[in-house]
Amino acid sequence: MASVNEISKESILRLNNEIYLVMDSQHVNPGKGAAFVRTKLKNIKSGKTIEMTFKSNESVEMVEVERRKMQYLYNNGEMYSFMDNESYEQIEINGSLLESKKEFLKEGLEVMVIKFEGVPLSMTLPMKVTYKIVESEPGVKGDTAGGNVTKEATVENGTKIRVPLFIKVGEEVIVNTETREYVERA
Amino acid sequence: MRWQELKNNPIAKEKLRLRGEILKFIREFFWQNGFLEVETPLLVKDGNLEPNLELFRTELKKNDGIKCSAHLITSPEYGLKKLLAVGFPKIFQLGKCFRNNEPWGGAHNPEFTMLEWYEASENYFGLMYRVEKLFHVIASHAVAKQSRIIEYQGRKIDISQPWLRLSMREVWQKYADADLNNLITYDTMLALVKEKKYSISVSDTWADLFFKIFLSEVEPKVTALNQPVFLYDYPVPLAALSRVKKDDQRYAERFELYIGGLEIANAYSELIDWQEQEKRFQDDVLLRQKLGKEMIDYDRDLIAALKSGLPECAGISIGVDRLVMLLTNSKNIEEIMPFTASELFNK
Repeated sequence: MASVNEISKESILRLNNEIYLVMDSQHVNPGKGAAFVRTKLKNIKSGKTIEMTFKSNESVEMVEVERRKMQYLYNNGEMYSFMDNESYEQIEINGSLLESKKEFLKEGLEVMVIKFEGVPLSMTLPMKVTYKIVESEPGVKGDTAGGNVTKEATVENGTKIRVPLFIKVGEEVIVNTETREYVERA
Repeated sequence: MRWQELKNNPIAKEKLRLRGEILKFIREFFWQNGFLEVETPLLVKDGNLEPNLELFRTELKKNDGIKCSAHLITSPEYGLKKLLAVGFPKIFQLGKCFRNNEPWGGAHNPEFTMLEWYEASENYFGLMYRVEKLFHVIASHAVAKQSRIIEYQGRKIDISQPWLRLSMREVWQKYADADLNNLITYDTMLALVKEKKYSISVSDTWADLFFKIFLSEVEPKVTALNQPVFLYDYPVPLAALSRVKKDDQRYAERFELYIGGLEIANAYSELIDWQEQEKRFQDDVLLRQKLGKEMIDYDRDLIAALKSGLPECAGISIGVDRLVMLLTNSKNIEEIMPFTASELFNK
């Protein structure tokens, strides 16, 4: 058993005899209430996502998982293919288990694939990844009062992000894959 | 270095300028509406009794060598209520409060700015109206101009008034498919939590059970609404310092305000019955003991002030940092403070 405070995204839990992948976990202190941990859990069998809140002093059962460094190859409809860097073994993960993370995959990107009882369940992206800007309108100086001096840009794999006005097509930028935000020029 | 970021990044700097302007608009609004600005102490002997909050503790040395323990307030409510008893009918305090042992970043910093005000002859519904007026003044001057929409973290929030007013019972019915009226005993709430397959520990209070369902099923739906929401009429175990409804003893006259996913304000029709207040304080002392929290005494001076007579009144606290986050479209509290705990202590 582990403290619920120790769980994070990508942890795997056994709860009520089912196996869940932690999609999100967040500390919350409701007004006048105790400290809680609010989680979003995906049942790996049914694919159903549930919200579950624990008191921060509770324990949960974490299950052993295997983590392998792999590189992303391609996707074929629903399935996303990765290759083990050492054994050259190729595996597939259903896109629904990857949620929005799949938007940051690009060919050759090295990720950490998580397996439970031999079955690949999920993967984690590097925190910062470099992408080439392939489409973006030239910057227009607009209302800066709200601090929103960014514009939309499309990167090499088709994903749209917000970048500062001075970024041009053809430039490479570093993106935080967790917050989906622009960090700096590569 | 944060100062370097501020020096080099005009957007980051602009947010601090707007913060200052918002503080000015708040003060002007209250002066124009007949309120008096007061400053009750931040450094006190025992501090707020709230069982789930951890106080900053320090030591005071008198020049005769005698030392005594002292605390920083988590809210100025006790001091302000004493001033109400003195006979100031409309007062506000805009200043710092402190809470220890909370996660940093997101919407929390251990030192933060709180706006708290009290109005005699008023109840919590009157406060909702006042909050709307205050927000209108700030938003129309500082940010949104004439717009009915503010953008926050990719969401478009419709700030047209009146804002949504939803009762706790209503949202439980709608989002958790349960009637709070039938869940007021420990056993009925426990049975529902079990049925919904949440984890349960023996130490869970009624409030803990309530929050397991509320935080999973109800609050996410309320905060996803793209309009400000006053969530009102809290079950009595969550009354804190609010008075019980006259026509329904199961609920207390308390509300919280949510805008764009942020918890902005907490308000009460204030409890003025000194005996009931003393009983709640004693319960909180016991609960602190049970939770293994630092033992502090309750404020007997506040009980004496209540005994001397407090007018019917209502009071509210607003997290000013969160208000600034909302109005500057900032995801993290660190973007709208000059220097935060993580800047000062994480090096």
